[in-house]
This record gives sequence, structure tokens and C-alpha cells, in this order.
Amino acid sequence: MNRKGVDFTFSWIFAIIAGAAILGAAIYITTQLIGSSDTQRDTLVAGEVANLLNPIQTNLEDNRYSVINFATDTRVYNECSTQGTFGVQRLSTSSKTRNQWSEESIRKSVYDKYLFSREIEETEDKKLHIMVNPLFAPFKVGDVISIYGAKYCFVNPPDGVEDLINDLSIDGKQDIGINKTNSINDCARNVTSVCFNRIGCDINVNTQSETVTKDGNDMYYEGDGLMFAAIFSDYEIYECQISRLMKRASELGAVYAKKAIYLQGSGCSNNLASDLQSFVLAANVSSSRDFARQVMLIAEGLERRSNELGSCRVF
Amino acid sequence: MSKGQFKIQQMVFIIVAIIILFGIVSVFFVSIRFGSLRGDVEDLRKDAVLSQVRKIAGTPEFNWIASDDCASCIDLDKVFLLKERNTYRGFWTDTSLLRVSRVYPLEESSECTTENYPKCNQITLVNSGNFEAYESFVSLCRFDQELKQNKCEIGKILMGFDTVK
Repeated sequence: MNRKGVDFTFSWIFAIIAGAAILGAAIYITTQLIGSSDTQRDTLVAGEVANLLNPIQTNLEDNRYSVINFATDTRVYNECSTQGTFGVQRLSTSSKTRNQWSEESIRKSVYDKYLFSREIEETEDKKLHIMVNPLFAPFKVGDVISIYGAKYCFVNPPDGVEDLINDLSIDGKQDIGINKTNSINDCARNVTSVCFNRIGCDINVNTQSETVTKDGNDMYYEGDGLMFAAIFSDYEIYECQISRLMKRASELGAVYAKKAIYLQGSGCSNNLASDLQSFVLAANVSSSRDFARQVMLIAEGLERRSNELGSCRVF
Repeated sequence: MSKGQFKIQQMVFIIVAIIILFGIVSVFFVSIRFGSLRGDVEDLRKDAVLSQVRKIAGTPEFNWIASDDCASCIDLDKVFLLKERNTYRGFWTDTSLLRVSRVYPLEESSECTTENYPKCNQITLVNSGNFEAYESFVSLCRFDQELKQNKCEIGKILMGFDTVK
């Protein structure tokens, strides 16, 4: 009787411990698999976002606008680094599932794209707005890709900016996430206000000095594309992407310098090689101030000279 | 062997059997999962190459600036000079083949070098790995030394992506 009792107790204890261990392992593995499945999905989404930026690159166009619609609320993480010859753009996402944000996905690295946004850009109504403008300095350097999910209210934008907004929104028929008003009081409370040539908004733009002031930081721009980029970006991202764009301008300048020498040898006199070499050295800047105040001046001079060359144009 | 020892042995066998069963199920599950992941990665790379091959003529490294109205014109001189620059290695991510080829008129030499340029048929910027390639027709433009003016010929861009082993 006693022996039977001991045997029964041992079996039960053994079965409970083994069962609990197996059940625990199964729950742990399942949880891990669900987590890795979320990461896998978000990593694929990050890759798809990077791919979707290819067809909207500019060719001969001045600027383009597009929207990415996501299946769920999504965060796009924008990481920029100036390390290496061209710097690197890293892109990752996380999505809201079961009312919780998943972990940041594995980062997708790209070298030929320049995303201007906040460090974490969140979709609104599951969509992200994308504005693409080419940057010429003096040749085409790349596309300035501005990404934003939040809504913006532009107070008294100048005519050029207003025309651009009208063009992109097809005269207001398409929602591009930007409203125009004449007074800051007309801006909704939950939107980011942008003042032009006056202060008092979340973001202030001075079109005379070509600066965008945000969170106490001044970002220098040249042209409407970079002005929009500065409005939608965090300061660190903006400065980093400008530096990356200038690294590419420097590399392209070196290619054009060689082309200038080659064309000179082919009977196409241009005398641009040494100026392009100077541009290559000058283009290695680390701030938007140096870009706007120094590099663009050299670029304008080079563009003028190249345009005078007719069929011997180097760029 | 006592009854108690027999019971312990029996349970050990059952646990070992359960672990083996779990192992087999896990291997099966992982193989299916990685199979689909491999497919997803290939699809992503294919999409990247397909979307890039259509637009690459407009990128700063390829675009032809002398004419303002040609979206599919490539600056052949620039592409050839680009080949000499090591800094561009790894610049085009997920691309294991990037080649510009002449379609018509064809020259005798195949790959362009400093000795035979521009009388050659192709400029290879990237060539590595096992690739699946796609192509897009373009105009190859350059300044012609003999004609003393710009000249465009028919060509194509080939882009390939690494297939997942």
C-alpha cells in the first residue's frame, strides 16, 4: 500500500515537472517566433519602402509628390551616418499590432538616397507623404526626399512656395498634408505651424537669409526642395544628409573633372578641370551653413561657365 | 529491475520521444519559414533592381545633361570614367551586375578600356555573384571627336541582383 503511494506520487511529480518544462519551452518558443515574425515583417516593410523610393526619383522633372499607404500604423526610423565615401542612409520600421508598437526592424542600408524627416516618422491615417526635389550643385547631385506623416500649417507662404503647394496638391484636390493660411490663429491645434518671414510658429522660415529655425537650431537651405526638407527634418538628420549630399557632389565633381580633361583632349576646350578640382575640395562640408554660403557660390560660378560651352558642356 | 525503476525508464523514453517529436516539428517549421523568407528576400531584390533599371538613366552618375529633354539618355563618357573610380564599389546596393552595352552600331572590341574607348561595346561597373538580370533600352550619348558634336547611339543598361543560395 505504502509502496504504491510512493510510486504514484513520484510519477505525478515527474510528470508535472516534465510537463511544465515542455509547456514553458513551447510558450517561450511561440512568443519568440511571434516576435521574430513581427521583426521579419517590419524588415520586409523597410525594404519595400526603400524600393518604393526608386520609381519616384526625379528625372527631368522639377519635383514630385507621392503617398505611401501602409496596412497598419507604421513608424519609419531614419538613421543617417556620414561615415564612408558616401555616408549611409539606414531605414527601419515598426508597426502597431495588438495596440502595441513592435520592436524596430533590422535596418536597410542604402547609399544613394537622402531621406529628410524626423528621426522617427509616424504615419497619420496609415499614410506617409513624400516630396522629391532634385538638388543641383551645379550638376544634379541627388534627390532630396522629404518624408512626413504629420500635418503642417503654412502661415503666409511666399508666392513661389504657394505655387509649388498648389502644383503638388493639384490646386487643393489632393491632400498633401499642408494647409495654407494667412494667420497663425487659423491653424488647428494639433498641427505643426510654419511661419514665413515672421516668428511665433513651431517652425520659422526666413526666406531672405534662407534659414529654417526649429527647436532653436538654424538650418540653411538653397532652393525650395531643401527648404521643405529643413521644415520636415530634425536638425541632426538635415545636417547629416546635407553632408552626405556634398560627399556625393565631391565624388561627382571628380568624375566631371576627369571628363573635362578628356573633352579637352578631344578638341573641346573648356578649362574647367582645375575649378572642378577646387569644387571637389570645397564640397567636403559638415554643415548646411558652409553648404549654402560657400559651396553654392562656387557651384553657381561653375554652372555659368559650363553653360557658355555649348556642345562642349561638361555638365 | 524494480517497478519504480521501470516507470522512471518508461518516462525517460517518453520524454526523449517528445523531444525528438518537437525537434522534427521544429526543423519542418524552420525549413518552411526560411523557404518563404528566402522567397521574400529574392522578391525584394528583384523589385529593387526592376525599379532601379527603369530610373537609373536619370541618376547623377548616368544622366546626360547636354540635352534637356532626354530622360533616357546616358552620358557614356561619364560612365566610362566612373568605372575607373574605386570609391563607387558597393554604392549600388543589392546589385550584382551593372553594365551599359551598345546595341547598334556594334564595335569589334567588347569591354571598354582606356586603350579602346569609345570603339568598344560595353562598360561593366559591377559584376559579382550569381545574378538574375533585367535590362532597359537607353541612348548612349557622348561628344564625338570626329564629328565635333554630340552623338547618341542605341544601347541598354543591364542590372542584376544576387539570387539567394
